[in-house]
Amino acid sequence: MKNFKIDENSKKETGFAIPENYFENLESKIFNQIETQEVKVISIFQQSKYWITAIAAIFVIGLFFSISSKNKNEESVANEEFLTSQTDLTTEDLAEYLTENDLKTLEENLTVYDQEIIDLTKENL
Amino acid sequence: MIDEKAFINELLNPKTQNIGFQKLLSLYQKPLYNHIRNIVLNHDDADDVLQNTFVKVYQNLNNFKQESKLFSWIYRIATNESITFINNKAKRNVQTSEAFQQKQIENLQADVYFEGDEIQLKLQKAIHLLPEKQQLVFKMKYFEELKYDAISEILGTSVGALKASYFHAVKKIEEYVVKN
Repeated sequence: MKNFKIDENSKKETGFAIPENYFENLESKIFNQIETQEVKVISIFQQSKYWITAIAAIFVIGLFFSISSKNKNEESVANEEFLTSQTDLTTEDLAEYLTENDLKTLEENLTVYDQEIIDLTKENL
Repeated sequence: MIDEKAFINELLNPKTQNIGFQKLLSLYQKPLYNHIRNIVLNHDDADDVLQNTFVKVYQNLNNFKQESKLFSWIYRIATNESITFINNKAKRNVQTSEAFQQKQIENLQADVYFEGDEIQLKLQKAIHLLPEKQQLVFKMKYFEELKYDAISEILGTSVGALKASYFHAVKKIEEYVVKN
């Protein structure tokens, strides 16, 4: 090109094209974005609320467990004390609380133990 | 022409804000799109930046000091958003902004949304070899046909300096087009 004068030559356009209907949907896209950004702000607040609730819940659960385990300890200690004080408990007393089946299994297991005990005593005598 | 003060009041009043903002959108969406597109070059990027610009305008309406005109305040946000966008994209591609823009220019030929002829493409190539300020001034004066006063308010540069920038830009562009 020999001569090119910007302000003398016919005006040149940029050459950029815009997709059809682009501006028709733009307004709703922008309002959507504004809304999502506002929701985002709320959700951060809500998230912190959730965290506070979660932490509070952990504290409550922790407190509950520590109290109930304390109770359990007290309970088992009381049971042990009761059992040791009741030294006159007989096999019959115990058997009263067991079913036929329980007794059978106990018997079977105990015979094995008995045999083992006999063997052991024989060996070591 | 809308009464600027009444319009700003409409935008600041929570009851009329949305209607006001709709008016602002229909007034500014096309010229602002062109302004941004001239800087970022491709349509998808221009779409992103335009949406960000309007969201920013909406969110910062309460901070608008009214020291400048609403028009120049909005254009300033759009210009800054466009330049930041290019710089960030260049950074992500580990390139300088200039190198990134050169690549964008090379991509123009294959861009379905660029319908320019040979001279228009040459013009774009020539513009993007200029320093950033001269590019902006040339695009705003030549393509967007903004008055020097308006460009001066948007870019915060004196009219005299703008005229000098435009003059230099035109000279360099003409030289490039003749040589190539």
